[in-house]
Amino acid sequence: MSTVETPAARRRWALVGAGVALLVAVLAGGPRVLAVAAVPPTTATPGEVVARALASADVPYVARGESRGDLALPDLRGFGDLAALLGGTTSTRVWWDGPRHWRVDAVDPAGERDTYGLATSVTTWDSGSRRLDVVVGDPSARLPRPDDLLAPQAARRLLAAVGPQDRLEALDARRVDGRTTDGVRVVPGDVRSTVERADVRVDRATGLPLHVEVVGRSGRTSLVSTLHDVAFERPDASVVTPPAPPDARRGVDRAPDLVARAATASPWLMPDALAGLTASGVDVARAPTYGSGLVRVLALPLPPRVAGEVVGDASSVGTAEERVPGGAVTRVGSGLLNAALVRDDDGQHAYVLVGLVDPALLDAMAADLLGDPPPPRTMR
Amino acid sequence: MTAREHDPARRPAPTTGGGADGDAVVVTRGLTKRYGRVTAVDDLDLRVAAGDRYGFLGPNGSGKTTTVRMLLGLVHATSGEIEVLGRRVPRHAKDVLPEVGALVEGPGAYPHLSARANLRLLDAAGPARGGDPLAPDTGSRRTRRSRIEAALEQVGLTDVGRRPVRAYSLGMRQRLGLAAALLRGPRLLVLDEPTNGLDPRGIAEIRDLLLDLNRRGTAVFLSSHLLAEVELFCTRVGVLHRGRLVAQDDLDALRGPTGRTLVRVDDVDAATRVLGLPAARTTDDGLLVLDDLPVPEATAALVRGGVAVLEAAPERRTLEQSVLGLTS
Amino acid sequence: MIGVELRKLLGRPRTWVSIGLLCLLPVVVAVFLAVTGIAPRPGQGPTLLSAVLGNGALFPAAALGIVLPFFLPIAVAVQAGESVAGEAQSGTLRYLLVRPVGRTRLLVAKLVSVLAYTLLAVLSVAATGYLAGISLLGNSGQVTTTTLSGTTLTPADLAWRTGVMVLYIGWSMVGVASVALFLSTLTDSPLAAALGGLAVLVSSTVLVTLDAAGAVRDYLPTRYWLAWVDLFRDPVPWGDVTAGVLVQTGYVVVLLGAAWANFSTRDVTS
Repeated sequence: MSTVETPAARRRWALVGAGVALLVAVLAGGPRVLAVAAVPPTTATPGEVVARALASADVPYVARGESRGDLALPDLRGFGDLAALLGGTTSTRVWWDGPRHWRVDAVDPAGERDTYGLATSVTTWDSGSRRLDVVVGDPSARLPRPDDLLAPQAARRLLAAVGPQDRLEALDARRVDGRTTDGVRVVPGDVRSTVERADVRVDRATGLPLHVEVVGRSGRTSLVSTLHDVAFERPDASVVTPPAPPDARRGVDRAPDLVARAATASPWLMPDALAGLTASGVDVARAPTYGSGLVRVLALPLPPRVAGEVVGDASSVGTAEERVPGGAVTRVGSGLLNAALVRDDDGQHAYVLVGLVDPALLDAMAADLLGDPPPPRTMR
Repeated sequence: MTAREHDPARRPAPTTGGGADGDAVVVTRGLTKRYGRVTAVDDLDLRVAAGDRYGFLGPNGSGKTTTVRMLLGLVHATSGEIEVLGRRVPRHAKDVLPEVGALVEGPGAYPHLSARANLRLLDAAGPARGGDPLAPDTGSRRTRRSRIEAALEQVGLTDVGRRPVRAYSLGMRQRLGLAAALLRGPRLLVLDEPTNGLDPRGIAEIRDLLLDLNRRGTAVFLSSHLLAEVELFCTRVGVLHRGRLVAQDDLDALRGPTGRTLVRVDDVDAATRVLGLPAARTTDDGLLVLDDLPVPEATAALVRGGVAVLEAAPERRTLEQSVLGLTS
Repeated sequence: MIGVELRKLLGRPRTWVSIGLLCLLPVVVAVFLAVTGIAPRPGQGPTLLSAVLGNGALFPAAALGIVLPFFLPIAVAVQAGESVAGEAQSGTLRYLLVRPVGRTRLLVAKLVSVLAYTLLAVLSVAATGYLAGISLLGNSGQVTTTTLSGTTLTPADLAWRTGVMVLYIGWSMVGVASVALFLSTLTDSPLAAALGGLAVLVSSTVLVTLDAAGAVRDYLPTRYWLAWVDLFRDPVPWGDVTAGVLVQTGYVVVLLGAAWANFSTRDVTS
């Protein structure tokens, strides 16, 4: 075929071409221009921005969240969606009435997993298995849930951990999802942290963190979480009330996952310090967190049988267990997040150590644990 | 032949004064079509008068079909002008085309439908009003059924029933294509190879039909590579060769006497000797060709030289000869 | 001309055969589900299918979910690819144009015909899905219908959500149709136009899953195809559905514009 170049034809093609060009220009350039155009500079200091962010837990809002991680973790039995949560994109819908009344849906094309936070319990609904589970109380340690990765939650957790040795820098104000935000950058002071820097963008009007970006030592952005379409309104009470599907399977438990069960059941009295880091946390005897500032390691005793299964799973995906004096260590890591599975040769002690820290620090802690195994709690 | 709904003969001749082309139904000026570097049609000046039976001759690939498509607004010219029925094409194609019936490069029909269903769809697709203010009903739904029956009868397809076109022979499809062209009683028929696939009897029938329509005032523009067809039917001939119009004249003029005389004698060798070359030459079948030698003097000279003159007649070209002469 | 095109569409055996085949697959699936009672494992198999066992009223949605990834786009692409190129191939395009039918008018009529086909196909699948669901999988008398979020749906809720879904999927298919319709004005081969349209879809499907293509992801034609699932969440998140409608509209406008610009002055040499 051929098309004749008449003036009319040229006019028609010009019309179509101009339409496409305009569309592409608006779509490609629009958001970028909007993000920086005419944002009034901030007067707040980084410290003030952090303080406002930390005080924002009561700000009610309804939004859509998206978090993206590239932490390549092996898919381990008992660790649920951890690998998918930290190693992929999670889309969420959030209805936040306050820290004791909220709902977060993790949605995918095939279904959704909804988490309802209430004053004394957390209810989860899984549309695929049609299960409604209620977890009573707040376990001292548990696996991350989709709501932990929400920008406001992740940002508050990160900023709350910032210690005196860490540095805060102000970032240029810019728009996130159409709202003016103030930015603050956290630079860890301890070289053992695997975090190079973390940027948090906080809504200027309400203090709600809208965007978090964690960059690892490799210079790669390892975790991004953003809120979109934020509406600062109190969600409808019916929306944040767990549903009562007639045909669902139901369960009530105190521990939602393997980690929580292990933490509750641990028979050992964990030491007060490991590799020079002191213990802290809600349940300092059974599942303590060692360290301060951004260098923090969760040390969790595991039942040896479970530890054996996890090591088996990890080695099946190519992570070898390494002999060390007194036991064996399996390292699972992804640059930003590192974990070590430690098994004592006595066949009774096993631990998992997790943190945004250098693997060498985990090795030192493992050596301490193997050299001086914690005593049973009954001996206290 | 039944009376047609809108007999073209009842239409008055066009009165609009278009200069010298006032009574022309097709005029092209400098019509050129290039596909990339290939020039398919080159600087064509056609003129078809109302009432003409115009034969558009040329070998395959000479640009006939491209020209026909340009006349109908299907292909857009690279340069040049086209006027059909006094109006510019393609700009006024929608005013002109209702009064033109066309058959281009074989018929086209939906194979799963019957002939009648095909014609009904085609007719319904066109504008309800024809371009002719004197016959506003040419496309109306009211007259559709009778127009379809009339067209089918004209081409001899009345008794095909409900068979789908898929089951038709090539000749029947060709007739259906012609029926589609005749559906609205056109003032101009543009037919590209209309007798393709027809048997000799069918060809004669169609020729009679076209002659009849032409007598009633329909101009016929017939594009063909078949010399015999054009020679039998047309009054005026245009010859296309490699995209150029190499001749456009009345058929009789193209077949006219050459000005030379052919003489049959009993002894050709003696005759050439008597007359002396190059004044006289011979044809393959033993005839003397006299170019500029006056016939009485030549015959007298031959008789004087003892050669018997059996026959002497002016030479006439066949259309084939003149076309081959023009296109070689 | 629009009436003529609709008559052509409806009078053509192929239209009904293709729609019949489209409806057949969900019925076969329903029969298997009803006979064996084995639902696909959660997260596997077509969307919503695990929820329809004993919940037949949800089956129209599941039926569309079954045909959406392949059969529906293929049927629509073939139909739209056929529109102009098919006329060219059967030799009828030139006769329509010299009848004369304006080229823009012809294109509009073809578009309306493709729209009608799409709507007819989607509605037929939904309707057979409903009948098959009710008769084979039992109706929602005993078991109430729930959303993906676990909340209960009244029949009225279910009806409007299914209705919006039918329209949304229909409009997504119009996006497919506009690609094939544009290609149909470029080539004289209906097959090439249909395959070209499908090639665009396959490329888009591949790119959507590719994180490296994140910059253009949201503008790909199949990006929001599955957003109709959102209609079965509670509350309904309208964001993706709206974005899907806008993206499809963008493609429809641009491609139809291109089809018009191309076809208006194209040399018809078929």
